[in-house]
Amino acid sequence: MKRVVLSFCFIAIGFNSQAQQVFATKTGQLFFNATGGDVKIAAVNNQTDSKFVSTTGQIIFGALIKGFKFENQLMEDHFNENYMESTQFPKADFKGYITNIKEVNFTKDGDYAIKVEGNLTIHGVTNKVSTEGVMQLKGGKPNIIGSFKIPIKQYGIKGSYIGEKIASEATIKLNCKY
Amino acid sequence: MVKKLLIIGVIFAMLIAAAAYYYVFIYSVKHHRDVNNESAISITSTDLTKAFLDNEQAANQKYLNQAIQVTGAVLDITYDQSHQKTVLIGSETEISNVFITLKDTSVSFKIGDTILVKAICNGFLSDIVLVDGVVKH
Repeated sequence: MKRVVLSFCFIAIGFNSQAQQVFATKTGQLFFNATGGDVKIAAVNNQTDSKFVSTTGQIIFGALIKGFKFENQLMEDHFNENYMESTQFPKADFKGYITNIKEVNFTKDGDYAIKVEGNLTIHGVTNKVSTEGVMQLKGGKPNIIGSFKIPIKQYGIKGSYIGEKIASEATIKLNCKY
Repeated sequence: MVKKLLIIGVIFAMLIAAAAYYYVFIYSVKHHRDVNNESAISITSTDLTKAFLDNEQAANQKYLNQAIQVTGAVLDITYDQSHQKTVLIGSETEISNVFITLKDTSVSFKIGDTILVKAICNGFLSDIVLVDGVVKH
């Protein structure tokens, strides 16, 4: 009888450790850098919305284009009006999966290498992207850190300085504490 | 005479270049948009949320990038990863509310208070997102 009870307890603990959790944040950070010449073209967005599911690895990110803050107001205005056309395309989003989520042990703190694949939509254009990053677990709370490059013209973004003062590939760095 | 005109022309061109440099690289860095100097659309958090949930495109045309004076009950107070204070206002029964990053934290408030915030509308994610908020009362 004792064995049966113990077995039941272990099974219950096993199920519990794999219980589905949805992690979310409204204040993730995205860093944008498209410096192509001497002048720094960089911005940060502190209101990135993201959720992911611990069991399936399904992950989404959403960011408002007007949420990218530049040191230079004029640069911010040009970014919104002349390049990103943020009135017409107010948000960017990513929908995909952490493909190796099974390698993350959510009951053990540490750094886990993750692989992410999905569809990135910017400026109304969707492209498949895949990248690698790190999921840091501290006190059971995840923090996803990653970096990837965006070929600007692949997203239908046009402008006379792209490939010159503006890099043809923008670097996006991500830091989301859930 | 030609030499004089040439010198005046060069000086004039240099002045224009200096003014352009000052505007682009100095003035634009020091002077950012200030919601305090703008007239705002007054609305409750419930009506703003309803507008975006009913028709996001129409709401974007009306509110995106506009200064908004929004009133609502404080549901949550947090700090973002850059240590800026944020406040969620609206109703606990709504699926979406109004999420505001504050630039001025001089007026104190707590969860449950009804506050009036002047801020700039950035658009709609899971909530309506406002930035550069100033709590009026």
